Amino acid sequence: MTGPPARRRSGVTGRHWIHLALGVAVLAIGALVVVVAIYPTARWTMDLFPGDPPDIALQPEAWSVTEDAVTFAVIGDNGTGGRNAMDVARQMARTYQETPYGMVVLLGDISYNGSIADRYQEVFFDPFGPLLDAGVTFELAVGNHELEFVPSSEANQEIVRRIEAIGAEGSFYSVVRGPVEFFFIDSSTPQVTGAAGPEQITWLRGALAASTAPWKVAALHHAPYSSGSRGSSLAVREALEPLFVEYGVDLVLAGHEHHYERTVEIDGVTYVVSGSGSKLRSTGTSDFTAVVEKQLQFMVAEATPDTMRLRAIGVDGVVIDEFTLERER
Amino acid sequence: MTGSRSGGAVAAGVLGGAVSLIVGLVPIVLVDVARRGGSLGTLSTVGLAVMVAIVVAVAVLAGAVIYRAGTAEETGPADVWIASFLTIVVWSVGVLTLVPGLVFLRLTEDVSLNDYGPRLFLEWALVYLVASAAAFFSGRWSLRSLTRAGARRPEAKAVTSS
Repeated sequence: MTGPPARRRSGVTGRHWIHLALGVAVLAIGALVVVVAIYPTARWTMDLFPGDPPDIALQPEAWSVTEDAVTFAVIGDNGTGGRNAMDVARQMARTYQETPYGMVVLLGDISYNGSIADRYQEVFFDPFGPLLDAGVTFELAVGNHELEFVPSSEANQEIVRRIEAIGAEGSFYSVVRGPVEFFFIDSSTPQVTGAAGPEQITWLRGALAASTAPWKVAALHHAPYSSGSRGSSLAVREALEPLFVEYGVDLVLAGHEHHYERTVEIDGVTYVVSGSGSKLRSTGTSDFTAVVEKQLQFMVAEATPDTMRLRAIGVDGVVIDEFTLERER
Repeated sequence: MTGSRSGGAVAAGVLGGAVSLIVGLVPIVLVDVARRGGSLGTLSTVGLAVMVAIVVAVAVLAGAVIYRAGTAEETGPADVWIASFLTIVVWSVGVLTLVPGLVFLRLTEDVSLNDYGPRLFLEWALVYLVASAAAFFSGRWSLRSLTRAGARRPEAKAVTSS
């Protein structure tokens, strides 16, 4: 014999409220996870939030380039088209008003999350509109996000698209501006450590050997020295550092890591990571570190045959780092 | 079973399934947006279709479980509602926070994006299934707990009165 079936209660009891509270608590914890973990990632690490493009009118071609002087800007990893990218670009325009420059060195990754053919407006024209209108030119060191997927014919087409979009001269090339010769190096996989590596290395060796410029500045995406979360690009260092030392390269500008870092002089070469043009990532310090900052930034450099003064500038206009290289006569 | 009870169970089941479906599809839409932007390497349309199929299956399962609970004799409408609520909340939080978080974090890494599609899929499936399992178990625990409490009280009263 079984007893009478248990009576079913349909009313809400205290226990129901406890379960409801549990559900709400889980919801609150979830919201906390979003705020604590995902929001900073989206806001700072990924720069996913939209920003307003700078609306600043600049005097066209306000800079002067002579054989004895040149001013240029440097920015890396700026290709989000987000709020951070706009803030950095806005400060670049403001800095132009005080220190006009005619060239911007792009250290790669100029278009995240898609082809520049589709994103040209938001990653390039919107942030750099005032500078483009002022006639500033852009040169590109190809980054890994230019490859986007993997080394392939499609990836190579994408590199070409980006080079054409900003009017640069090729995947690896050199340009002379005043007393500085810039060597733009393609550090993407096929060009330094891949099948096409020897061709570029041969070119670089010849170009460095032939250079008579007072200052030799190499610009590439992958940092030979970095204390960031990705660390130094050892394969790139192994391939290129001997050339830098042998041929007297003074300064190596790199991105890839999303912070700012300057090394002490290493065998006569100063290495700079300037890769926080839109995204930020944590960093540490190393025995080669002179200055390291996790801040959105870009750089401005003023070079004469004897000195090259560089400043890393944050989005609020504050100088994060300032140093001067002096030519020994 | 009364008509209103059956109708209520159907409504709860459909609602639970629909919420599960919508919440489950949100990360997939995010993934698809990133994929169309070119950031997810070789994650294929077939991969996305499999993800959608898993989400639909879990949503149908959620709806069926909630409906069954709603029509069971020993449970009351309030029990079902609370258990469904807990289930949906736990599951939604898991999927809505963990999966997009995982995608965002992975997107910042510099791994070979050719390998990224399959890896993302595996990570998504793992988190999604864990979130789903946690939701179902918490809902089941909630329902049983409430049902037991509902059944105990009247009997206790009866003993006291005799």
